[in-house]
Amino acid sequence: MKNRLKVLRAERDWTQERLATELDVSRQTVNAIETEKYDPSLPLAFKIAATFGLHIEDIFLRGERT
Amino acid sequence: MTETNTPPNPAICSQGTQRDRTNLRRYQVSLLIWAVTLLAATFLIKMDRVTSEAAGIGLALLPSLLAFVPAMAFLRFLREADELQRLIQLQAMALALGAAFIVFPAVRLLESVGVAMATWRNDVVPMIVIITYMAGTIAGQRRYR
Repeated sequence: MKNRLKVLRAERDWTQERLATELDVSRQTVNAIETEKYDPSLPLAFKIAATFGLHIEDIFLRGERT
Repeated sequence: MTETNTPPNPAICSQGTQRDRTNLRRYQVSLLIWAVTLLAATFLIKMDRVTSEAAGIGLALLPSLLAFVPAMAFLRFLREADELQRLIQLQAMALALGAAFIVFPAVRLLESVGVAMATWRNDVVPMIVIITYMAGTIAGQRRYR
């Protein structure tokens, strides 16, 4: 699943570590989601959306991994 | 924007959250205590240092009773782990279980067709499980780093 996590994070000038702290996950998890090696669970996807003040579908896009 | 470039460390759960590392440390300490107890009990029993049958039975059962502590600690680690860590651990355990299913019947069948197995044959399956579990964890940490 494609996602805009890296772009959204960059817009806020956040490090992966900072986002990981916000989401209560490891930096490794944030990196794995950004590089599309790992799709987050639905609760984590909701948490990500809430953190950025967006809807899930604004961050995660349908389609194959790049 | 500053990227975090932490050097990758493939050790078990080296890149998890602080909570994961704390839970893992609890697990490792309890596992160490269990291992020392097992070694001590084995030594005392083999050296015939046990004074009575009741003490011998108690000593023989002690490591098994203590094994609940690391088992519970590992369950806690898994329950509270970061979701990616949980996936990595699950994949590593699946690999270890698969390896056990491959090695266990092979050892038994080779023995039954007359292939001489070393005296350490009983240790082969647990050793393979431990090694493949560790290899699976390291591979998972590298895959998702």
